[in-house]
Amino acid sequence: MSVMDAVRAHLTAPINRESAEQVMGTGLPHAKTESWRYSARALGDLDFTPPHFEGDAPSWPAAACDVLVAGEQLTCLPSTGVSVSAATIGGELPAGEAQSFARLMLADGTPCVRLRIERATTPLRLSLHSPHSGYHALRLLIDVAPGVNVHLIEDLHGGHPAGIVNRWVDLRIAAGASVQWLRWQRHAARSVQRTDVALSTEARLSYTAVECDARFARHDLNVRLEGQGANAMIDGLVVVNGRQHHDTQLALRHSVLGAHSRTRWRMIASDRARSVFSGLIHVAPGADCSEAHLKTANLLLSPHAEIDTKPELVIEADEVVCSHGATVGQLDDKALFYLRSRGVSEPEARRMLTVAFGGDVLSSVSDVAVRETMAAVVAAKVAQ
Amino acid sequence: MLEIENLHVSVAGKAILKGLSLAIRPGEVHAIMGPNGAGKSTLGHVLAGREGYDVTQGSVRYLGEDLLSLAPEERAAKGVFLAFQYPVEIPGVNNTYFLRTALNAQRKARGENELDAMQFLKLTREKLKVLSISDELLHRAVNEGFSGGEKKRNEIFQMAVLEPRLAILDETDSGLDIDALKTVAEGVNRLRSPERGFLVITHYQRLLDYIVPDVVHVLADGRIVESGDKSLALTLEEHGYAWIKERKPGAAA
Repeated sequence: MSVMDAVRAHLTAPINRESAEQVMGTGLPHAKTESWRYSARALGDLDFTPPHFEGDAPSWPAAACDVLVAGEQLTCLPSTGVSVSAATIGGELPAGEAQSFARLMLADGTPCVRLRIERATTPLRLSLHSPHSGYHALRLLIDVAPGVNVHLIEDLHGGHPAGIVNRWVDLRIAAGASVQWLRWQRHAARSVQRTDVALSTEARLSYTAVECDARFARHDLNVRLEGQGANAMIDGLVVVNGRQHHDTQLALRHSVLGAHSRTRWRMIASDRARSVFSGLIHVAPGADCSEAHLKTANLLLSPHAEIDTKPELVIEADEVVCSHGATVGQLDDKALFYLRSRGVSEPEARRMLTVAFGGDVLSSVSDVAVRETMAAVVAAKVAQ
Repeated sequence: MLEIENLHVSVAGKAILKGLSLAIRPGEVHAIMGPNGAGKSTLGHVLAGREGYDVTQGSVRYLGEDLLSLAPEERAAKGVFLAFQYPVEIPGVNNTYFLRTALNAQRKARGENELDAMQFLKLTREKLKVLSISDELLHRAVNEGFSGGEKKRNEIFQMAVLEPRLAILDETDSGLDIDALKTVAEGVNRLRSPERGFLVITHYQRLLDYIVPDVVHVLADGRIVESGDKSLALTLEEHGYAWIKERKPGAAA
């Protein structure tokens, strides 16, 4: 059975009762779990029944995940420089209720699809969608070979109101390799996601996330700078409205000499939406001469919206250059008046200023067409 | 075209304008001079519709209409333009995009055809050329990182593109070197026409060497204490604002 078949078979099989109970027994995250304090309640009740498919069982790719190169499904393209295999990732079960979703995946034996990228390809598109109710688990390991440059476009879309997605992606960037990761989260349902990135010597990561439309989205983003001269640039733009809830927990770990990171995270919340961001930079002992900067700027567009943001620095090394900062504010009255005094209507002026606020992050999207589409989506959301 | 009658304005409970009256007819250039804190900028902001100013008494009619009941964007569409003393930096909003949006919003409100990108580009090129402003300004975000002089030039450029009926210049001369001052004055003088009025707010007489006013008013303590022709500006320059107090005993009371 190919790994894809295994994924499909597992997806439609009932969850291992024992593992679900084990997780339930250890406990789901609750309000006293520090990293879940703002999100545990919003997670709501969970239903671990398998996805309910109307009609026949799904054929790949309708199940959960397409991997596309140049618009064609990866399984049909043996010559792309990307190989697909099954992987087992060993190690201990992650402890603590904060990690219960990862533990559930391991206990339940969710098959892990391994993509190994051997040479530069056209953009690799990961299209994750889950249009059905029930529990969807996705486990992916991406290995980028030394010296390879790759564009990764992750598109999370669809989503059933009664669905829950448990996604866990590992990305290992080998020495001298470089990954541009554009992540577009527009999945309308609930998801609990985890991403672990490890960078080797002189490896580079440029990560841009545009997050919107999720009823509930929780993402633990762990980036480990493990090789000298590794470089990570993290950009995020979160736009939430209605009663949407979004939570990103970023942990950047510098564990060797002379690695660099730069994070810009922007959130815009309106109506009764809530957006949470925690950004931890940990410079471990021995990671001397590290440079790490983190800045989060946020815009509250409604008195009932809420933004919780926490930058955090833990420095255990010498000769480091680190900075962090956080702001939360509203649209600038002076700028609004300036635009209106030139004839721009108030709603249009608000829209212009809000889109401009996210412009910094969007400008890091290199593909013009994608950037403009995203800007239009943000503009439309703001106008709602 | 503009009739201000006995205007009283307060900000956060503090009276700033205390019975200001003024009338501008089409084609006229009026200058308002006055010491710091006299209420000059308040007047400009109230006319443009800035929030936070309470009109406690008096009226402002513009082209026969109650100006104070209109939103800032409605005033703009009807031809009111304020050149800001401190133009606002708006990172992330492209100057060209902003100005085209503004012009088309005004045109739409007036029932005129909107300009497409090509027509707008042609218009801006013409205006830039006459004002000898570099088109590099167009590609940047609104006023972001502009020098003081560039910001003021950008205000005049916007004025040239939007072609208002009533232009209010709020200390556009402050912080300008002599070349920039001439550019600004040139921009204003080119727009002077029989149907257009100007209200030039300034602290110094210098600007009025280049923009010759029809009427000069002296604003002190929230009202106009003296009006005259352009020679009034020269007299003020010579004697300073203390002279006003001497001439109008009790005016500051």
